[in-house]
Amino acid sequence: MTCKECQELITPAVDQCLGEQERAEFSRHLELCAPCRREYELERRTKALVQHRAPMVATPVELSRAVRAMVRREAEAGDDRQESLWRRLVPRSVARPALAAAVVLAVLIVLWPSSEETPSPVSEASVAGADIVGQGFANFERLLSGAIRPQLETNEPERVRTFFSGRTTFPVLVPLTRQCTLIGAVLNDYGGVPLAHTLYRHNDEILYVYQTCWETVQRGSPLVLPEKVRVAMREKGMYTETRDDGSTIAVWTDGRTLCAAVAHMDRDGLLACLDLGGAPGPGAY
Amino acid sequence: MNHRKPDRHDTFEREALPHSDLLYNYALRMTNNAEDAHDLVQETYLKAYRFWDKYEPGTNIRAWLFRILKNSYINRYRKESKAPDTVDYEEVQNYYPSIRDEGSESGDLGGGVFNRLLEDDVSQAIAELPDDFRTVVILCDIEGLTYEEIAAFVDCPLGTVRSRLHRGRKMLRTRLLSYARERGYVD
Repeated sequence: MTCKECQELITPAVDQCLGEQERAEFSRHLELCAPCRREYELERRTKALVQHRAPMVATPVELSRAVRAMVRREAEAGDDRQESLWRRLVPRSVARPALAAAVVLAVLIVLWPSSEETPSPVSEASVAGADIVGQGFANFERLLSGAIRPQLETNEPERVRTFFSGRTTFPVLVPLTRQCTLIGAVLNDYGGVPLAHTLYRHNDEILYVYQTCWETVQRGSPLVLPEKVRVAMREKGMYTETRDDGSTIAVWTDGRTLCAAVAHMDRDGLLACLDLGGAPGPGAY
Repeated sequence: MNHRKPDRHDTFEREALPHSDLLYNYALRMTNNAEDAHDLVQETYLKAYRFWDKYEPGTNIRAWLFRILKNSYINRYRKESKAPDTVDYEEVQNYYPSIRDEGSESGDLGGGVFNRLLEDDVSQAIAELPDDFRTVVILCDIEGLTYEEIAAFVDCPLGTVRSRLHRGRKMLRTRLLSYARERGYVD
């Protein structure tokens, strides 16, 4: 056995998983070769030291208890979706019929998980080029119509953060509003791009925010950022648009996250609700 | 998919929860902090429960849980996991180190030197290993897993596990020797 061959066996020898034949040859080489013997000894001692000074510990009792309690809570939450806070907050009568046309629905589905109410599969044509602003308004209307319901209902930001944790490619900002109560969250993906949706309440209005990966949106596929939005964001740090029905959308970025907020409020009303953190605030333009 | 709601909870408790030691010890050594380890394990179990339908009964539950934990760790600490190619290339380059490269610094490595190092020194030295190497050292030397099991956990060939272990231990002992020198246990 050469030194090179011996070197390759040092690690498995330390872990005592050499075959009988290999072990015999290995030992013979070590008897004759001081440098290899030393190398083996060093690795063996290193392992022994780790075993003695960094021993395996038992899971702390309070951790086991916390995990069991959490799993139980999750299990119960799964069974308890019937009479929800959401249902009480957004009864079907609130639906704004003007926008409930089938055409709108067909576009909406690209951003939302399909439900029993989905009328038909989305065609390739309607999936291509979903624009951020149109989708923002559309999702909002679908929420108000009750067609969409939160996957998680809670007013605790921490629970919403945990809900999204590790499931998106961008940091999800929660909460993003002032003087609003968190209602719940939905996570889905569109063409492989994760989308995080959060819902808030401000007095009697619902405020809807969706967030996605800014880098992906800049690439223009599968989500599209219209040119006018891109320009406004570059020049003013934010894009806003108010539609005839009185709903306003605001689009801005925060680090790696693109955020869009929609509510039945005027521009100033909506901006007053948003906590823009490091992003340029309403005062900037 | 084949877990019905009432069963889901029981099955999960029976199959997933018994592996908390495996997860906790890994989390503890990766974060070097009991509180962070606690949070990481809790997050892992929460995700595992939510994605329990995705787990195929009869497959390697430990490897499945471990991967959720590892992803959570990476996300939480925003560390880029190194591209495997880079690591492997480096490993090939360094797999056959000169066996005399430490000749002068360890005339005495008799039991005494190493044994005088304390738990904190060893924990610290482990904490300073690069993630890929630390992972195999933790799984092999602390958790006592076989090479085969480690290969399934980190999803790479046995040879890679072995070479990472070799290099990981080598980095570890270099670090430990320098601690020993700082403490005056060795010249």
